[in-house]
Amino acid sequence: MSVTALESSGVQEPWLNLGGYELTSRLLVGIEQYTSPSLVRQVLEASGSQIFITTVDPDNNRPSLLLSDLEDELPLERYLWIGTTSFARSGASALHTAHILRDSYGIDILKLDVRDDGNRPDNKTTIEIAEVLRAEGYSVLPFILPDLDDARALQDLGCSALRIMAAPVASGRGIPEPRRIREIIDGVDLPVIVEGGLGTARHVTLAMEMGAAGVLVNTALVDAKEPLLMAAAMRAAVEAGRLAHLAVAMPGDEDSVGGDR
Amino acid sequence: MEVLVEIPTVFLSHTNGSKRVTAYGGTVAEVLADLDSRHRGIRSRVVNADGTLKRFVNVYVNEKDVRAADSLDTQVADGDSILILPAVAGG
Repeated sequence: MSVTALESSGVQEPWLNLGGYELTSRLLVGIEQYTSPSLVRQVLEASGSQIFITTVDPDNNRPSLLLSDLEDELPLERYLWIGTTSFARSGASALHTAHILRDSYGIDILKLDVRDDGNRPDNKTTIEIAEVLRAEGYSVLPFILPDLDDARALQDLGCSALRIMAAPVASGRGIPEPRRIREIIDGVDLPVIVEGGLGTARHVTLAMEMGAAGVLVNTALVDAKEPLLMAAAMRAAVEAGRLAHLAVAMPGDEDSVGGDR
Repeated sequence: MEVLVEIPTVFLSHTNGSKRVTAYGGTVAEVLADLDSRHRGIRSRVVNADGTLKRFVNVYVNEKDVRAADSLDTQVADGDSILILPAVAGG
């Protein structure tokens, strides 16, 4: 394979079209938990992430940086704005958040999260709310526990991509059950983003080697001793994993990637 | 008019942690000015220097977005509830 062919082999190609915006970076970075707008800017730059995730908290329980403050630090217009309902702990709250984001800021691309009290995705309610939001014209990226039937149900609703939980959010545990993730990747025709529990570059490389279309990280960068170094590490890890996936590795380590390559 | 203002989590440092505070005024702008007299700094996080509502902050009076009414000149009545809801970074 020539270098040119290598460069266009899937590392830098658009992999997801959201509202006419083509994503080429497969590293999606959440920006919760930061206390410094400057650090958010630097992390986004170091990661190469093309998206900017925003939300409101109608339940009024969660602190996060104000967009008013980030606006002074970041060229917000350079990013694809994606709304999230990650603060929502009920379907009604997720819908309410989605409606506020669209009505106030014109955001109709939604990272849909409906989590239970233990901060784990509530698959059943997520599917119910995804159906409502799809009918209302939103582009939806739902977050679920790995379950093939649920993943296919969301695919049938016309979701843009699926976000599959590898391990509890913010746990840093990596991908303890790769076969469950791999089953989703192989079983749907949508881009699968692996998210939750990815704490270091090794976890991200593994997800990409398994055939994930992308990964989403947040706490892994915030809680790293050096967030900018970890952002750069994650960026390199995504590319390494993607290339290794395309290269198709020699036999011997199938278990790590959840089965036969 | 006496109204109840719901304070977003990110502003709680201005109210010593109180999530709901009482304030007075005939319009949203007056309520915010009154609020600021006792909880210094809140108004400037909601209102621009020219007196307009900040782009990434919503204010609701009884769950109605004031931008759909008279913005900060929206009138309030005794017992109304006001919610300040800023857009924040998400993950």
